Amino acid sequence: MPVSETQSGTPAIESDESLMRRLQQGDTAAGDLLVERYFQPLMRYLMRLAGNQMADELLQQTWLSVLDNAAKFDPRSAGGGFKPWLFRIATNKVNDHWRSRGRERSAKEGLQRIADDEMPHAGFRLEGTEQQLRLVKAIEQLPENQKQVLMLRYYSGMKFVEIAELLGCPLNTALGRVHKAMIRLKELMK
Amino acid sequence: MVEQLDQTSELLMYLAGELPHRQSMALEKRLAADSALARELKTLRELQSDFDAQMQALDGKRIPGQAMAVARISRAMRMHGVGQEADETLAPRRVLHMPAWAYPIAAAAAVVLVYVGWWAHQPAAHVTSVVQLPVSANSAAPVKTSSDQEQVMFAELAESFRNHNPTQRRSLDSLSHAESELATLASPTRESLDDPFINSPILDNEE
Repeated sequence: MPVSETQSGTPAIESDESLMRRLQQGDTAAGDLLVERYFQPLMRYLMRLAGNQMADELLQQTWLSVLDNAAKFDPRSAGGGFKPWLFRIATNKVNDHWRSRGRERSAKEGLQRIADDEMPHAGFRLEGTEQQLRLVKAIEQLPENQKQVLMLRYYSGMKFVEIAELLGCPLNTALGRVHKAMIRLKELMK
Repeated sequence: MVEQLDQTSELLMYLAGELPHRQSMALEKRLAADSALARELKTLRELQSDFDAQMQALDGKRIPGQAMAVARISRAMRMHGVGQEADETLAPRRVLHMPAWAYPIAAAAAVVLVYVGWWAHQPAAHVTSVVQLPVSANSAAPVKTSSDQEQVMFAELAESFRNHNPTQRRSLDSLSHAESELATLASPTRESLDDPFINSPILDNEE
């Protein structure tokens, strides 16, 4: 049951950690709930980092990786619970994608063009106004390391210390990237 | 306690509420005393709030096709799980793989079996005739044996050998001598001709 009743009678949403425990025990319905719960923020994060078309594949890879590593998930050592753990996995998938894109960029772009027509939300633009389109383009122009820290912070809500640990860089470096990214965005948006 | 931060990083941590309490208190004292630092904090706060506002506007619309995408991912996760279970089920069977050295041995055994099978299906007549030829040719009391046709063939073969070269002729003479001795030994006596055991069909088959 995703929702349980509290003593006061108001519905209480089952926690991510509880759903993960169920998933660890083989309850795939719990996995479905988690996928649904994190679809919007995780998809947006992946879209900002890897583009609209690649995000779909990376999202699926992320959840399959969650399934593979479900037994290893421990909320006490996951640095703040399920959400940071999930975004950690997604970030690793994006990094893998960037690495492979560096090696076979042209091949990937070719595949993406083929896949364009097959995506469920192909051609969909989240960005409606001119201002929003400019922002998307500005984000795309950011260096990958700055973009990653900024988006990870915004969509995952991870602490800066956790982000620095995840990316394997000093805290000063992570914070410096965030600062530079925001200044750069402001300049691009002028 | 976080590591030693530069000024901007410290301000960002302060804005995020992630600076430890003691460092926050110390920074607030400095902010009260340093107007330049306070201005920098104000600039950073505006930068942060502008960014947040822009991102919130950008993400105002929900991504369509959520239900379909969630269903697809859920299906992939189930298949992934089923695939893993299938792998685990199949895992013990992998132990039954033959070692590499068994393949050539199996091939050799197959060749031997095929040869034995072929040999077993060959007619037994030629074996009998080779043994019986000298008997019919040299025996004083010839036993009625197999084909005259084979005797003719043997004679033709012998003639061709004689006409070929001396070495072969010597070999043929040696062979003829050996055949004569064999025929003498194999020549049935009157007693043996009467012996039902020697003339039994079982003996013919064994030959």
